[in-house]
Amino acid sequence: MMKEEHMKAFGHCFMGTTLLLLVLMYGNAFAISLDDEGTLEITGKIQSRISLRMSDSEGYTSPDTPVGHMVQQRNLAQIELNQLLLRQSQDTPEVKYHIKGRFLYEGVYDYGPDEYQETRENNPDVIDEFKKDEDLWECYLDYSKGPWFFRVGKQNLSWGETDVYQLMDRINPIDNTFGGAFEDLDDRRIPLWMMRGTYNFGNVGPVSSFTAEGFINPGWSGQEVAPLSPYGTPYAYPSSASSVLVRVHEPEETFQNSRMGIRLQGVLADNFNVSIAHYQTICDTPSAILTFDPTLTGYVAQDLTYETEQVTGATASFYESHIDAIVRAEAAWFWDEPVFIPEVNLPALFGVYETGKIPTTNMLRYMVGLDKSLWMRFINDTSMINCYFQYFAEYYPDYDDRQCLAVEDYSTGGFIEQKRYEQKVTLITSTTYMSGTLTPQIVFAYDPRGAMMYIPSIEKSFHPWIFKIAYYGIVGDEDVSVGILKDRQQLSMQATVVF
Amino acid sequence: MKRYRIIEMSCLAIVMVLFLATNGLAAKTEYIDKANWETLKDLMPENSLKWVKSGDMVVRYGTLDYDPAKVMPEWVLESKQENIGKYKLDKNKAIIEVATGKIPKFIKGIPFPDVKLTDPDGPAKVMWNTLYMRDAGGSLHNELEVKFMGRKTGYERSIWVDWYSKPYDAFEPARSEANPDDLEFASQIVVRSPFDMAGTAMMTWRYRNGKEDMLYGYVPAIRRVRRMTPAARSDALFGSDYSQDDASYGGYDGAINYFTWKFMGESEVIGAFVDTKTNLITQNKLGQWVLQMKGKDLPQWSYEKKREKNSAAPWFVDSAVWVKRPVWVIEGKPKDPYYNYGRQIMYIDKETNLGYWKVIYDRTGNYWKTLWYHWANGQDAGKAMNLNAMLITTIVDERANHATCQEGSKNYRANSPLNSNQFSLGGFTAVCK
Repeated sequence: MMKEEHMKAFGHCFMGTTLLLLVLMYGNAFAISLDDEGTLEITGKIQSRISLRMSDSEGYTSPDTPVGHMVQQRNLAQIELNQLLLRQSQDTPEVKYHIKGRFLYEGVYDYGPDEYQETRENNPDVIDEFKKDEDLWECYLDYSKGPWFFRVGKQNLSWGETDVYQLMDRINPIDNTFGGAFEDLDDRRIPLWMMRGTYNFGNVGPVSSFTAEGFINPGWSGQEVAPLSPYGTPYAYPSSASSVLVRVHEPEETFQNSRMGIRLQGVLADNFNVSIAHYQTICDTPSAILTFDPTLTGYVAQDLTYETEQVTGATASFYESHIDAIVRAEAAWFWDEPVFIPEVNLPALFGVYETGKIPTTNMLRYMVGLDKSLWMRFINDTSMINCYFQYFAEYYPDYDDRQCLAVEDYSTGGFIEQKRYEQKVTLITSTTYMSGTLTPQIVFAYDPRGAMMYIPSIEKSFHPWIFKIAYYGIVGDEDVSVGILKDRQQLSMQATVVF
Repeated sequence: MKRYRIIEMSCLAIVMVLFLATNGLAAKTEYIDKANWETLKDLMPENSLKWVKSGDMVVRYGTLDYDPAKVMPEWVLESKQENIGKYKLDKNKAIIEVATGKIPKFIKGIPFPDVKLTDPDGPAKVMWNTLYMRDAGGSLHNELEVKFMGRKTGYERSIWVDWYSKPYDAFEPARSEANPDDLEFASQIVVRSPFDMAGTAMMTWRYRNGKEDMLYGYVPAIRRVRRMTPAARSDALFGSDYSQDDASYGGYDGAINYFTWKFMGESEVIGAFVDTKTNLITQNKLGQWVLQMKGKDLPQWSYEKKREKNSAAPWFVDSAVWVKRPVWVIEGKPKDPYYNYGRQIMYIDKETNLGYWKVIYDRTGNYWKTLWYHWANGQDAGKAMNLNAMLITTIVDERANHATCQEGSKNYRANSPLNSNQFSLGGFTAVCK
């Protein structure tokens, strides 16, 4: 069995090395054009990333991982094929397609520290499936003619104005299993089979560039939801091992459960970009209840259910000349969002032996941001310093003071408290040196309740190679949002070759 | 017999005269380097002349076998007569009609064909002309290779971008276009390669009424169109030596009223052309005018020859021909105290309104960068259609000993069928990844 696994690992390494050699033989960072006109090209990247845990495990984090131990050795290849089939003219539409394959192999379970090899040995079927992936990642056809634009196929769609944290950007499910919050948000999006269309009305009344956009990810032909990390993997949320059967329920495959929505956007007074949107999505975090079921051994199961959710929101952004900055704002109303009230979801824990329910309530999330690029010539006299500041808030108008996050608090044995108001502040600052080949960046995410994540990173490219080092530091209380992952601080080193 | 001799001699004389005449008209070039650099004294910006003097630059100096002032779109040539005294500038440096005091619905060709050195608004009018010369070529879809080069490192890397621009003025066929937002032009830059940058895009809406530009950026990492501050136009473009404002026919691509403009005088300088002849353009099935550069072995870059004869610093185009032209010398100073550049000196052709040089100083007044152009003047076989193509531009950062060049010779396509929808918010997303 072990020999077979080693053969598989060798196979993955061989494939990766061959691809890498092909790229190096080709010798540069350009897309490979397959015709004179450049209408057909192959492009992509091959990437390897190693992450080391920089804090000792505490609380419910499992397995116990000491400082310096490898928690990630991810190998990723993305290969894209793009072709322009028809160029737009007065009489003909523009038609093109895009296909992206993604190949992923996580080596920490095969040649990582003992604790992760043991995780695999304890749960080989699940981990062997989890550690690798070969997927048709994106595959869509674009059609443009006049005011119409359609994109049909497997794709990502992002609405809203926010970075770092999602607000209205909840159309595609997020995969937090392979790197958690330590991966870029866009790398975690899971493309969906979707049809999306836009129509440009041009100028309508006081609104210019008035555009309507709609999408549908059909719910009747399979539901894609945010996956859960298997217990004992490095990016699983801290929790105790479940002593009862865990059952996961995806939404029923019906039209009513489709992800779908519509957005209207335009420009007011030649300065104010505004949009309003309404859509239905599927919550990334499944709602948990304890269920009594006499047909089960032990009569009890933990049911995790992915619920649909309606979101209505609006965005605005504009240039403010007095401060020479872009102001961004976004607000969204989440209708009947599932919340976690232990007494309701898990009544058995409180001596009431009946099946739990999923409570819901409306909530408001909003963000105000400021984008400012400025010259600080004593730091950099050739490129501006870009600063992106955001203030996020969440508010429950019908707050129940029993509300909690569905995350266990190791110190109390209960659950982490959910406040009526939750706030966070984020700041991203970056610039470039050396003709754009050296990019230092620092990201802060601060929760005023007493926790902060900070991510200094530096990226240097020697085309076609790109190297990046990032430190993911967390300070503060472990029962406050980003502080929950306080014992997961890590140092990541990444090498990428692009073509 | 004597009679035949006279006829024979007369024929010979005619042939000789014709030979001399045609030979005299044909382009001639000679190389000027550090041995005879004085020849170019006062014909180049002072800092650039130093390159010739030091052997860094070898100039292929000569003449064109056509008159560049006559190889222009017909509506530009017509506007040189029709627009005399027709327009002026208001206090925001927007173009208004003399007769009505209002912003005209459409301006054909260049708005100010009769600029006078004594006119206080003269330099701003010349800069408007340079923007309209770009617009006069019609909608453009051009594939640009942005090349990064260092003095020691030579050629370093390239970024490939698609450039789309759509004029709402100057280009006669655009007269019938709906222009409810009163735009002068709209443009998009979309990075195609390398993979780590692909999909990054920018869109600009330039207004005719003096209002600041509307800028949008598309960042693949967040998959959204974002508003950008106009101040970002002086930031390094993709980490290169260019800023976004550097890329236009006169060396400035921002709103005219963002700067104060001053005439420094009239002069003659040498300007670069990719060939001594006009470049053939042909119309493809989409109606685009395509500049035919295949098989011409042009341009020949210095870095490709690895410093053989006639090649010096890697960023020069050895095959370029440098021609003496009459120019306006114009100083532009940004009003924005945070703009990255200080004053800039532009050298603009008095007859064609095309730029040849731009010398850039920093905010403290010290010399920093020089930018220059290589023009290609396209003409179809029937000589009915003309276009002026800014085929290559080069900017050298002398402090960093580094240069960036934009080359658009591979697929230069004017009169592209771009409709306004592409430059809407929805259309911008469609061209992005």
